[in-house]
Amino acid sequence: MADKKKKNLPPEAQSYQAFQDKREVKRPLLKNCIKAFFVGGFICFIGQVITTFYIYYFNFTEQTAGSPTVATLIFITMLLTGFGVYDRIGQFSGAGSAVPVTGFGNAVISSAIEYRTEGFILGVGSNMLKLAGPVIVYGVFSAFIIALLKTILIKWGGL
Amino acid sequence: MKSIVFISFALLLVGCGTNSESQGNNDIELNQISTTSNAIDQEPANQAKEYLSKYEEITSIKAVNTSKKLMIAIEIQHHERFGLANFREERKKEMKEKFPNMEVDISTDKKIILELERLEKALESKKVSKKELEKALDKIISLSKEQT
Repeated sequence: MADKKKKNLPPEAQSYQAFQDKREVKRPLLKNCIKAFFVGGFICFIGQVITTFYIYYFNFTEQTAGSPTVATLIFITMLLTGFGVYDRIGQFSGAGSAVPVTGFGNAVISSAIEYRTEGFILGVGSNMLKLAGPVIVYGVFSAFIIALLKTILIKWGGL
Repeated sequence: MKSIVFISFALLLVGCGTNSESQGNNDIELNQISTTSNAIDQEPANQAKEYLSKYEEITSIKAVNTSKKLMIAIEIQHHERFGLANFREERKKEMKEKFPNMEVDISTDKKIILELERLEKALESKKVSKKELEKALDKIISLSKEQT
């Protein structure tokens, strides 16, 4: 689709595009993937440590320890975002810090901080979920589709 | 850049390599509890341990029983956890056939393994009365049935 758009451009713009493409610094895709893999993995490792802590020292099973772990991770992310540390991690690792649940926490809190100047209700309250809203909508929607497929396969497909 | 790629692949290979060593079931962790001088005879729990120890996937078995209930907790090799639910259901079915007069439960949960281990140790040191054992096992069974 991008190529189609380029063809419609006037010749000067096309030559400028070619000029720009030659000089543009290429994105280090593999390096970014590796960074994301390791940072994302490290966040998951911290999550596992927290889960194990809840299992060993509190009355949580592997099934029930998930919710407090998520809450703890989001709380830690909130603090780190507030102190400006998580933004640095995000700049370094990209999707590695955005895909785990901590990315969700970061999206909520960073919008809350951003709209703080517009007041608590119309600023923070109404804009807090501006970034995280789509995640919730499509998360719920895809969960619904998957649950529907699972039900159909198990009830009627005999799985 | 090249060094990062090399190190990451090396780490991946090392990570994959460790699993293949632990084939076979010689290092299974199970502890037969004395059947004679306990509050409640632990023969069914011992039989269950003996039976389940033939499965290569299992790395640790804990089991305690009262006169009516038998609670078993198993730990399986990490890469086998993909089929965890199926494995657990199949073993549960087998155990129910083996002990038709008892309420049998099997769990693969780390918490249940920890709790049963604690109870086994208490049984070994003969610190538990019949009533205490029944109460503790009921608590563990209810814990194993908790959902998120």
